[in-house]
Order: sequence, then structure tokens, then C-alpha cells
Amino acid sequence: MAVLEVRNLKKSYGGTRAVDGISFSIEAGEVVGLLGPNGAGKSTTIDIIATILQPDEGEVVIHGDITSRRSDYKYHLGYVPQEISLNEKLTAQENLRFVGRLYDFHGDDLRQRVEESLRSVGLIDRARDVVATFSGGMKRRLNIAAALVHRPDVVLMDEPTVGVDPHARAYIFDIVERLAEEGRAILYTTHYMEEAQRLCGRTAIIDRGRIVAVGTLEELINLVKARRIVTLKADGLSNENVAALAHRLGDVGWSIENSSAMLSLNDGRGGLVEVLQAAHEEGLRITGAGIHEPTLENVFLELTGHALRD
Amino acid sequence: MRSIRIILLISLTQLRVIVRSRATVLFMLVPGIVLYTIFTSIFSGAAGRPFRVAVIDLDQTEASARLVTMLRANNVKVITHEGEDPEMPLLTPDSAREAIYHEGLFRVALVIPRGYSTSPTVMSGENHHGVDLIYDESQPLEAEIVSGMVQMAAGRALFEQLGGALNFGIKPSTEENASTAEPGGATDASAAVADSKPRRLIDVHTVGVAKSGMPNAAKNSFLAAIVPMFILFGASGASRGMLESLRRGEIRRMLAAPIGTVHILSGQMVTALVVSFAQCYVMYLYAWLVFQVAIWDITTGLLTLTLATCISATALGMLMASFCKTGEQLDAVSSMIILAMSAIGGSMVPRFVMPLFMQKLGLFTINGWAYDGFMALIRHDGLAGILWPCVVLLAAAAAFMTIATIIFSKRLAEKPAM
Repeated sequence: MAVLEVRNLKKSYGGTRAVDGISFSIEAGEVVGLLGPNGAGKSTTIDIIATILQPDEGEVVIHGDITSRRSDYKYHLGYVPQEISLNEKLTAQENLRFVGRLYDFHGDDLRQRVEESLRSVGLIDRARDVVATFSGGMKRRLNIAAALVHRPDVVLMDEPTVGVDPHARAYIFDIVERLAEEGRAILYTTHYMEEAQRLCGRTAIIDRGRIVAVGTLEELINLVKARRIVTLKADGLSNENVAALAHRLGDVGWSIENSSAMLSLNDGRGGLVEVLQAAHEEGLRITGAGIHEPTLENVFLELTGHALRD
Repeated sequence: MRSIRIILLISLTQLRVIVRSRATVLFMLVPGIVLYTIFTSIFSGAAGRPFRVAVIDLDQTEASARLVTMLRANNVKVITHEGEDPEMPLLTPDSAREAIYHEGLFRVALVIPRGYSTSPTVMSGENHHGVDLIYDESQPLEAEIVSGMVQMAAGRALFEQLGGALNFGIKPSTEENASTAEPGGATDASAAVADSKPRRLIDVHTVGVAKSGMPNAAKNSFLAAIVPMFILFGASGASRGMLESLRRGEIRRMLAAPIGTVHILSGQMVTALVVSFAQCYVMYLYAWLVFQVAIWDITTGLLTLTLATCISATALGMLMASFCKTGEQLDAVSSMIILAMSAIGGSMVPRFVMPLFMQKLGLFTINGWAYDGFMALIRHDGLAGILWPCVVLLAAAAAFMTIATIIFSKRLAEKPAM
């Protein structure tokens, strides 16, 4: 049975629909990624699940019958906000004690939980240091620890690696994997494809408030398996000339990433030679070209019509 | 040349950032206009506002009538009957004392004694008796101002009596003519009036009205004026802390825990309350140690009133924070509101010098009620004297807190990325 079930969530701000009928579920020990660009509705979805926001429609259920209206709902949820929501003037231990007390833990039980949480993120040696002295990566880890003090079944992580270096990011990945091994259900939002590929058993691609596809990495890539991705490098690449090229090739999907144009071709629509010919006719001076199998990034492009970082 | 270009570049960029926020521009420009309006209303209005002084003319002679006429001409509203009602009996020194203590229609009463006309000024010789000035001891400054007005009126009366033929230049007093304050009634304020040895025409004997002796009346009133303003600034600082917590996301994490918005706001408010309460008592202790303000005579009342004032001020702080999105906005808004309240409520300028409508406006401020409550305490009115101020302050706090909770809840529901 799913630990967390999200059923047809809808939320609007004024006339803008931020979340438009989102549904998914997470099993125990599973990491589900919400992958989408900024403003896609990831944080709003997590905020609704965390009860910070009220949905206009839909509901969230934990363990089949615990709805957000029940008083014990919040005790099952751990929330890691995107911001480092710690008091920098307090020590790591004091921050976690504060959070633990919000969940009604006291005395030895609380002390034990705080130590356990600090140990799980590798900060037990810095327990008595004030947070202001921590590096960005350590603050991020403590931010996660604060969501674990009450030993939740479900952990909501809203872009927990924002602004950290690769080393700290790898450390956070290890923490997430360990939490999943312990049997927690984890919802992990990100706009980094690599993170979703590395951590998430299943990934839901979210765009403009809707989930456009959900599945394992393999399942998602199979959605566009019949396609090939051609990458072009050329002088003076612009949205205009790449759009014109895509149009010439039969309105294929396109994007510009790292100064390269990416074109998503159907198998039956020719190959690299046809693309180079069309580029030449568009007046592009090609400096490099390649063809490769689709990635999650290409899946996103194919399903949404724009790149993940647009 | 390059340096100038760089300086201009930095400056223009910053100005562009400022101009893009309408709220910032508004909060930069409006406070000055508001404060200018308030102070102009206070001081330009003062010239046209008569001081309310009860006059008990026991002499009933042409000389005493002339003094009263000159007082009237000197921008004094003369009250002669009880309840300011011509149908009621004439005021007596005793009824004036009672009225000052209980009614508040006036805070100063001038008693022109029998025999005044035989020697209306100090220049008339040793028979000069002078006049008595009965005043509210909690408002010594008003007595001093009226005392000065009596001197001016005496000078004008003398000038008129002499048909304008004499330039009555005020002469220095002599030791024999120096006034002595009435035993048991004189305070430091009356002493200030008597001991300052002004160049005077008429002896003014000041008699304070209070249940018991009130040493340091002026220092008490300054403390009553300063403390509410201080509390308001403290509360504003605390509410800025809450906006910072919001910005850092601490409050979002708390909202995901099994607690509500009311818990969060109340928790913040209690913090602010404790801090402002501690600040107040440090000030009280300092006033007691250094200026001998008698805080220990009014312990329970002072504790109650301080608590009510702090609750009201911190709730106002929360309300201000609920309207502001950034700390900078809050700084601008709170500075404007606190300075305006302090000006209108009597923390900066005594309310009795203000026009009547401004005095009434003072009752819409925390400072005004806190000041009135404090003065009731040091008049030894006891808990009954602070009942109404405390009720008003706590009712205002409840209203502020309710509105703040509604606004914050709405903000948290509408702005996911606060």
C-alpha cells in the first residue's frame, strides 16, 4: 500500500493555476522525484502536502486513511524547505531541540532523537556549534536533519541541494538514499535532471501545474525511444534560426542548451545528413554535430515543448 | 572622470531600484509629510487655543477684575462656575481643588485672595499678598506656563491702571517679597516656580493637588511620556524579527509542524512582550535610583499598566509587520506611526498645549492611554485610576492581534515563496 497518496490536487493564485489536478503516490522506501522548471508547481505541491497551503480541490492521504484534517497527519510528515530555515544564532543541537519540541518530544527521548538526526546527516561532532559558523553544505544537511527529528514516514524535500557545491551535493544524495533504505517515502523536487536520474526510482515530470508523465527513468525514456536527438553547434545560433530549422524539418521539438541546438527527430524523419542539409539551407555555419539516444532532458523537451531550464 | 562616472553609475542604479518599488517611495516620502502635519497642527493650534484656567475671585474689586480681563486677553479661557455651567455655583478654592482632582475640566485654578487690590504687585510694598495657583501635581509644566501668564496679565493690568503712561518694566524681586510655598502642598514644581527668582510683578503661590505628597512630579511625567514611546520602538524591532523569520523560512517550517498561525504569532508576541517588559523595568529602576521616582508606592498598578501597555504595543508591532513585506518597509512604517503616536499621545509634547481636537486625537494612541494611566498612578488614584486605560489598551491589543492573525494567515496562504 502507498504511504503517501496525492489525489487530484488543484491550487490557483488569483487567475493563475499553479497546480492543476496532480495525482501520484509513493511507496515505503521509494524516492519519487518531481522534475520541472522553476514555477512549474513543484513547491506549491509540496506546500499543500505539508499543509502550509490549502488546496482548492483534492486531498492528500497517508497510510490510506490519515488525511490532512486529522491531528496526527503532520507527525507523519517531515518537511525540508527550500530555504535554510534555521536560526543561525543557535547551535545545531538547539535548532533541532526546538523543532523536536514543536512535535511534543521532551527529555531523554528528545535528546536521543536530536542525536540520531545529527548523526544521520554527519553533524554529530558539530552539535554544539552555532549554525552561523557552518558552511553552506552543512547548513543544508542540518536543514534536512530538522525534518527528521520526529522520525516521519514521509519526507518532503524541496530542492534540498540548491546552492551547494558538488561534494556537499553528493553527501546529500547519500543521506537521501539512506533515508529511503530505512523505509521512508521521499518526495524530492528538483530542476536538475541528474538528481532525478541518480536518486529517484520514479520521476514525475511536472510542467505548468500538471504532471505530464510519470515513471521510472527507463519508462520515461521509452516514451521518446522512437526518437533520436541531434545536437548542432553553429556560429550565431539563435532562437529564431533554430526555430526556423525545426520548422523546415517538420516542426520537430527543439531547444538551445549550452550554445548547442538540440533537435528531437522521429526515426522516420531522416538523420544527421538531412539535418545538416537543412541547416545549410537556413544559412547556418555548422561547427559541430552529433546524434545520441534520448535523455530525461530530452523527454522533458519532448513532452513539454521546452527545455527544463527555460 | 572615470571615478565620477562610476559614482554616478552606482548612484543611478540604486535610485532606479528605489524608484521601482512604489511602496518604498511612498514610505520614504509620506512620513515627513505626516509628521510635519502633526507638529504644525500642535503648535500652530496652540496659539489659538485658550488655556483653561479656573478663576476664583475672592477680592471682587476693580483691580482683581482687571487681572482677570488681562488673563482673558492673554489667551486664557477663564472658568468661574462649577461644571463650567453659569447656572451652577461659583467655584471656591475647595470645589476647584475637587474639580482638578476628579473632573479634569481644568488643571489649574487661580485664587485671587481678599485684599488683593490693596497691593496688586510686588512694587506696592510689604502688604503685597499675591495670588494662589492650585494645580494638578501631575502636570507641573502647565502650572508653570499659567504662572507666567499671570505675570504677564499683572503687567498689563498695571499698565492699564496707569493709563499707559508708565513703561512698567518688570523689576527684580526683593528678598522680603520672595514667596513661600504653602506648607504640605508645595512640590518641586512649585519650588521651581518660587525658587527660580524670576523678575516678577506678582507673587504666585503654587499649591499642588494630589492625594499625598508627590515628589518629582516633573520626572514622573517625563517617565510616563518616554516609556510608551520606548515600548513602541521595542515592539517594532521585535516584529521586524518576525519578518526576518518569515524571510528565512523558519515560519514555513513551523507551519508544517503540528502548530497553527496563532501559536506562531502569539509566540513571537510573547517574546516581544518579555523583552519590552524587561526594558520598561530597567527604565523604572533607573528612574528610581537616579531620579528618585517613587515606583515602589505604586507597584501593583505599575505592573498592571506596564503589562497592558506592552501587550498593546507588541500587538501593534505584529499588526504593522503583517502589512509590510520587508524589514525596510516595516522600519519606515513603524517610524512614522510611532513618531506620530508619540507626538499626538503626549510623549514629545504635553497634550495640554495642543488644540482640543489634537488632545482628543491623543485618545487614539497607545501613548495617550499609557500616559494617562501612569499619571493616574502617580496621583495615587490606585487601580481604579488605571482600569479604563488598561481596558482600552487590552481591547486595542485584541483588535490588533486579530487583524494581524487574519492578514498573516492570508499572506501565508497566498504567497508560497515568502
